[in-house]
Amino acid sequence: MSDRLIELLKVKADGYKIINTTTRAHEFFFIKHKLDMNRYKDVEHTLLTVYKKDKEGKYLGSTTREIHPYLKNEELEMIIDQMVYSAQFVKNPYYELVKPEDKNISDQLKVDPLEVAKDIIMTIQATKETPITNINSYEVFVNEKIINIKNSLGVDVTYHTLDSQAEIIVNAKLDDQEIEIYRNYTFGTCDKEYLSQQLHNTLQIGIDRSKAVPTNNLKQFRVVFTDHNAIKLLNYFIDMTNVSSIYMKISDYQKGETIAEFTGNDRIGLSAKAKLFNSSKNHLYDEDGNLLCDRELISDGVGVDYWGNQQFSQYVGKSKASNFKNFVFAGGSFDQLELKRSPYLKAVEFSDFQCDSATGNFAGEIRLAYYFDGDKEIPVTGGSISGNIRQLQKQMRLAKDLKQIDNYLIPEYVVLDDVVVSGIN
Amino acid sequence: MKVKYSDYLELMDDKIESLRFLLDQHFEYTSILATDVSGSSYRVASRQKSISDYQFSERGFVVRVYQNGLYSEYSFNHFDVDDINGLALNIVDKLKKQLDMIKENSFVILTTPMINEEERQLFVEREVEKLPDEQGIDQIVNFLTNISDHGIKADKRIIECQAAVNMVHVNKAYFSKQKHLRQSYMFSEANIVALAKNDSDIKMAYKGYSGAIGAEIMDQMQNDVETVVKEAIALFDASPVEPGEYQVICTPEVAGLIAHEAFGHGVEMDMFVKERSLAKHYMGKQVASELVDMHDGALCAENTSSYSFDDEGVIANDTTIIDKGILVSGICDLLSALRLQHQPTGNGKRQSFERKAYTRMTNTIFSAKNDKLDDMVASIKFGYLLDGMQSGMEDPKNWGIQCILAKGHEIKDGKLTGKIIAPVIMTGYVPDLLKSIDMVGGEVAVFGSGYCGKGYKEYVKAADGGPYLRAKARLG
Repeated sequence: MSDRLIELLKVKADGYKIINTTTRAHEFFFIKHKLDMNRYKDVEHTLLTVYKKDKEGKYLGSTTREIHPYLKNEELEMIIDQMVYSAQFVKNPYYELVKPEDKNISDQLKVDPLEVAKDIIMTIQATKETPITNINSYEVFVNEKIINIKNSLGVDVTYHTLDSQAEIIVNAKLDDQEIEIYRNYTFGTCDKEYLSQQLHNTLQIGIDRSKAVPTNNLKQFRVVFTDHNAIKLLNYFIDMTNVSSIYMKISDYQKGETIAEFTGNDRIGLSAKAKLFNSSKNHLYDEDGNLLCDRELISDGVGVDYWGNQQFSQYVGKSKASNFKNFVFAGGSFDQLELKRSPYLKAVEFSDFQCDSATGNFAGEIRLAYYFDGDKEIPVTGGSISGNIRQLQKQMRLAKDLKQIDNYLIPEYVVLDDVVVSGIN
Repeated sequence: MKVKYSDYLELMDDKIESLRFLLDQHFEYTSILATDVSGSSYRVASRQKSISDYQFSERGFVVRVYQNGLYSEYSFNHFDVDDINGLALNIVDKLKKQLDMIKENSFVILTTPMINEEERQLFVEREVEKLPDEQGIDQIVNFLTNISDHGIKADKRIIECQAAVNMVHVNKAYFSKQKHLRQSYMFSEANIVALAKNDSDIKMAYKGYSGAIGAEIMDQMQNDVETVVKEAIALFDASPVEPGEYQVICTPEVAGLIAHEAFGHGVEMDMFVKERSLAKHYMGKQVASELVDMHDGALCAENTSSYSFDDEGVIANDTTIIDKGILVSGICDLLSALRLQHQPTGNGKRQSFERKAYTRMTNTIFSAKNDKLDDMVASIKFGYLLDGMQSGMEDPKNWGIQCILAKGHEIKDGKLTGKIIAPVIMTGYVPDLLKSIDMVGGEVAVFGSGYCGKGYKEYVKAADGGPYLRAKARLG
């Protein structure tokens, strides 16, 4: 269909972009360790964006639709006509589409997705369960994708990706107390050692959660964030450097300027990467067809560069367009010794931790945290934390060591003071 | 105006049945769900406009088969009508490869009874007032642009005002040996979002709209932008709440959030199968005050999750979940019903043809009683009127509540003082909250502009609502 589509577009549209994604997936669903269902998926999605210039060339309208397989010529013509008509009402300031690079880079997939699924399942089934903690259920997804991006300026690139997901529920029961812990692991292929270690850690958390006592009302307190909760906080800095945030005036970020008046020893360092080891988001090109090349964004708390899609990168006019998916933060100076000098609350599990990049507000209900009283860590549960990262970032402390969680490489922990901790005790 | 059934699915009808018949030669049971969901999404902000497909548009097929106690599924969207036999053999081959892997590695099967259906034919085309195709694209964009422009001009602290609308046409067909079901309906959702900025802060206010309606949704949006702007600006003066337990009045939107997050997820019976739900052990017991009745079903309201049959071919229903404070039933997808020996309730939903079906909520509603809002406010010595939902998260295992609300209006000595707290986190134990409900308003409002996830995936449309409620809640 692609050739027919392009012939029509050349006649009717001022520009076009076609992203064609073929996905073949293996999916397995387990309750306890019994197979509830197996699924296979074979789908192709063609996303077409049609562009229309105004007469003066000041505006570029666009509209995006999925083109389903097996449409007849007459249907395709009608859809394109409708899209061209719609595009003229979407008057965005003019921008150029991506031009082809001098060379095309491509790759090949070297693993069997069904083998990857099998490895994930076997690793989960080999996890050492205890009378207190066990695995309640899990779902495994392995997606093999072939992505082709074409546009009216001659971009025509193809590359492969493999991404996997394991959603796992862990149960813990001690005396009459029974709790569960939700985990959603995403990665490229199956790293058995990494997955085993993660599951072991989660089972340990289950044991701690079953022993947790009510959280005290700590009012304003030092809180330590780890793993996905730390990522949600740190996304604030990733979003602030994105050209769409700058264009929408949500972010005041500027190259060459400090991003905040940091009063502590640690400063934010942030880079965007085309590839990270075993990330589920290793793409050669972004959705506009830009070849992704690593880029430093923030160095020692000072703006260095921007990132984002083709449209907004041109509006802001200060960087080459690249819509990254892998991010690396620099470590700080805060080691375990310094951490243990004062009491803190290490928030490990929330029912749903949220951090809004626009307002900076963050909040979450505590399912498990560790209260450090100066001597030992005590598991606690219940209550909530809240704060605003725009206000609290000045004295943010970052761990020395880094930890990778899928497409993020971040400090092992992020420490904020004066977070509101509303306990239930 | 009738919402006409999909021409594509009409054309494919006998071909899908042919595929089902061919697959039936290889398996003990076969069913096929065909979907054709289309819609347009219009988004206008001061710096950016877009027109695109509705984000959950889809056209495809999911085959469900059963053999030796195990259900398997195959999702696809390439239906070559000139080689249906080849398609059937390909499906058999791909599933066989998986089943071989399962066998080689000795995976244990959760043996499930086979679906036993009664014969049923159904063809439904629902109606709306205004079909989207009859509105000009220019009219829609201009309408939204006016709202956005008005919002920006309303206050110099407003840095962005977005108006957006999605209008969605859903077509689904279900095929099995005994059933041939087809439906066509519409839903629409819209929002106005205002972003305000002062020297140090950014605040956001939002109003959502939804219904089992067409383009008439835009009529609801006409006069609200100034209210949304005022709400965003007012948040600059909001204080954080002093954590503690308070007497509160929940607006219908917050009541709906409680019904959905705090309780609804806990009675999804696929969680009973997995022993992940506390509610399983409370059937027939008092879990709320006697004033509380709660329902869920595609039939119990007309909103964004109102349909005639679910994604497993089960006819839609209206299930009483809580009756005078007693938990009487959960909601159930078809396979969970087989495992629990329960009746399915028409709550088997998929994010799309590409995803598995789970037990999902539809319209989850607290019923109305007789109390008046003025009386509720007058009855409170010190507390808050809680308004606006931001997010919520389920905890079916322990019946914990986490709801993040937009704001609370302070009530002192029976009067609203004008002071606001924001944002507000409501936490606690669900039965405590529900048992503390001691006044219930007389009019139900339903809200369906959001999306419901199962954990952090499987996003489906769901609506919720209720009347004003007075209760005791822990706020932080």
